[in-house]
Amino acid sequence: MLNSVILVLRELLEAALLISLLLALSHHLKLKSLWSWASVVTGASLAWLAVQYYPQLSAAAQGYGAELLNIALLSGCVLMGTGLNLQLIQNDYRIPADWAYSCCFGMLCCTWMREAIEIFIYFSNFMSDASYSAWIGGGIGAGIGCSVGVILFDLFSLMPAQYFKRAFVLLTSLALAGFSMQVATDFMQMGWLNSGPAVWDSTWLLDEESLLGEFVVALLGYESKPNVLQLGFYLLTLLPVVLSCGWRFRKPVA
Amino acid sequence: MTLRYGACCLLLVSQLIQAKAVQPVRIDIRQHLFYPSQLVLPAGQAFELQIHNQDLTAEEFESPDLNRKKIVLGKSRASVILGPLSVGSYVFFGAFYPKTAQGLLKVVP
Repeated sequence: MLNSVILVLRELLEAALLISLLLALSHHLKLKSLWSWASVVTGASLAWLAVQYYPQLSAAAQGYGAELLNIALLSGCVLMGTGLNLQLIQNDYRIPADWAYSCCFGMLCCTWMREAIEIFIYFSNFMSDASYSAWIGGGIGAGIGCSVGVILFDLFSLMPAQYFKRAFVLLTSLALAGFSMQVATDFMQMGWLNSGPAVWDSTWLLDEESLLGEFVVALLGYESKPNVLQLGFYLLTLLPVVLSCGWRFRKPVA
Repeated sequence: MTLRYGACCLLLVSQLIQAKAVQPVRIDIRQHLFYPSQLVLPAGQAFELQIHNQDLTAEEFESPDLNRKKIVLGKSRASVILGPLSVGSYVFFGAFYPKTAQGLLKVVP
């Protein structure tokens, strides 16, 4: 039961920060909440479909189809998130509603699908489990994960709009840089990129497998043993936002 | 100048992209246990770790030390590329059954 709690909680914590940020942005931009329900249902449906075809999916691309799907979902999230952040910075934190709807829907859909695939596969092991302990554990994990998400959403929603939008750009940029790092890791797992030695090892300070570590991974894209390529992917993702902020700051006020 | 810059870029990209053939290493999962539970491999080489799951249930091979994570469905196999690794011990486990599915990879000179 404890393993189910940890596994579900770990997956939900990873997604909780980004999802609560997107929901809070929607709240501050006064968007209708229908998009969030639609993206959760779409993400879960696509995850269910992916699980049905997982044997074929994982066998594709010489056995690395699952990594390619993960890379596609992460890259989609990074592109949409960076686009959203650049729009927010360039337009003084005012963006067209259709742009906001599309990016928020796409990002939540990709994030939820990634996490749901692992959860669905894990629970497929317990379909005939008479004791229901794994399901109860999963329920407890989901409850804790959702509670953390609700607390974060409340905190972000209560922030004054001008501060929240700046915090949104900062936090999503760091989280997306972490996603980018995961793309590099997937390429290394496939053997398409070389796994070089770690630049540092900060496991002694914070183990990314701990619950706090998982949360910091989601918050800052933390990696305890990154190599040069992972750091490169991380910094490259931050670069457009940093340049855009710098350009905006230097632009004379009309 | 442009040609020299292009050549440097090509060299860099060729260094980043793994082109070498990698040696396969097999590990089995049976009744939520890894067989063998301890692997010994030489340092400085890349390997293709082939995970054969002989159970009916899915398992997730995971190793924060190796920075690898991969779901292996029941009665199927999956591969991950490892290394080149430096000398040391690397713990791996099955994330779906972590109490029993535990293993150690020792990298020796």
